[in-house]
Amino acid sequence: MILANDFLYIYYKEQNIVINRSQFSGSISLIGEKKLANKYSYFVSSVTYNEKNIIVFDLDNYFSDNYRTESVNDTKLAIISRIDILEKSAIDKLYRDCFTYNSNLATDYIAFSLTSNSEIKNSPVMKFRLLSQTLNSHLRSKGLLATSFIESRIEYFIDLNHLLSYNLLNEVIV
Amino acid sequence: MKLVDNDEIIKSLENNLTPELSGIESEKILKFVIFKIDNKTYALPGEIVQEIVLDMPIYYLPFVPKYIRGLVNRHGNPYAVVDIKVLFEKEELDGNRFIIIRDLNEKICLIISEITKIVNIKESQVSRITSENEISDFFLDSIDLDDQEVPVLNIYQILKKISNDIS
Repeated sequence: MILANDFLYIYYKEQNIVINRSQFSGSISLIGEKKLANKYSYFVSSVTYNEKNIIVFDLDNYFSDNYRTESVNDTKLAIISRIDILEKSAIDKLYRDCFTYNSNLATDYIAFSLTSNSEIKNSPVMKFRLLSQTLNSHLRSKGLLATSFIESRIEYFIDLNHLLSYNLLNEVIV
Repeated sequence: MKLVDNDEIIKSLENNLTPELSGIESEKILKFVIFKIDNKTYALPGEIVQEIVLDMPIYYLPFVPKYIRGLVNRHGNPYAVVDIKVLFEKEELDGNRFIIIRDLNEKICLIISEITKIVNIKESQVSRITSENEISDFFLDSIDLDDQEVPVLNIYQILKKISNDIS
């Protein structure tokens, strides 16, 4: 039985987003972003990490559009994940639609940009509760795994693999 | 500390669901909760009503049909709020009362205007609804109450609609 785990808490005005620490390997300040041209609405830039040019998924804007979050500051950072957190079909799509047209991009990492109003902390796993069975697998496929409540705020427990794979495979254009 | 992946976390959460009352037991005297949505009266079988609460904030839930208004927090559990008025009339209900539905796996509740009463009805006073239209699909029975025919909402038909709409 899992008792506790490290999670990244991202604090927005009225809600928190929670991401499992195991889904990313590091983080950097988002300085020197370069614009990127491609058809995906949330892959709009790249950033340098360990001398590599990494594609950036704008997680902050994604949460704003889909979860109605509102940032409390303008400073951003990026969390870095290995590309193999994605499903194979999503990776193939990324190669086809992004990496082929942007040959200077490293193909082994993805960055997720988000507000810097965040911290990593250890939390009990059982604080999260699954949603209604009818809705569960539908929401999970889009990256929402569970929720918790703290004081008057809701916390959305997000899976980056499902979130990003769904976006890539369904070509969500805002 | 060893980090665990999300599949293991979800397995832990699923295993932690504790058994509660499930299923609907038929009785000779049947209890019904009578409630209103605006000026329309409906009923629910008493055994599927877990509790009635009021004035709870509704939290946003993405990727769901419009008749699911969001989530409410009940003892730390997220209950999806179903707005029958949106389902039938495409308009949101201005209500602040919620009927929490009793079910092991389906955490849903209905937003309503008010609870009218709780009644015991003889089984013989319950009749099947025979008219066929899109809305009557959501009602299984009707009860004869104070010379009025009150339709009994079929929660499981609503769950079926949700399942169809999101698939």
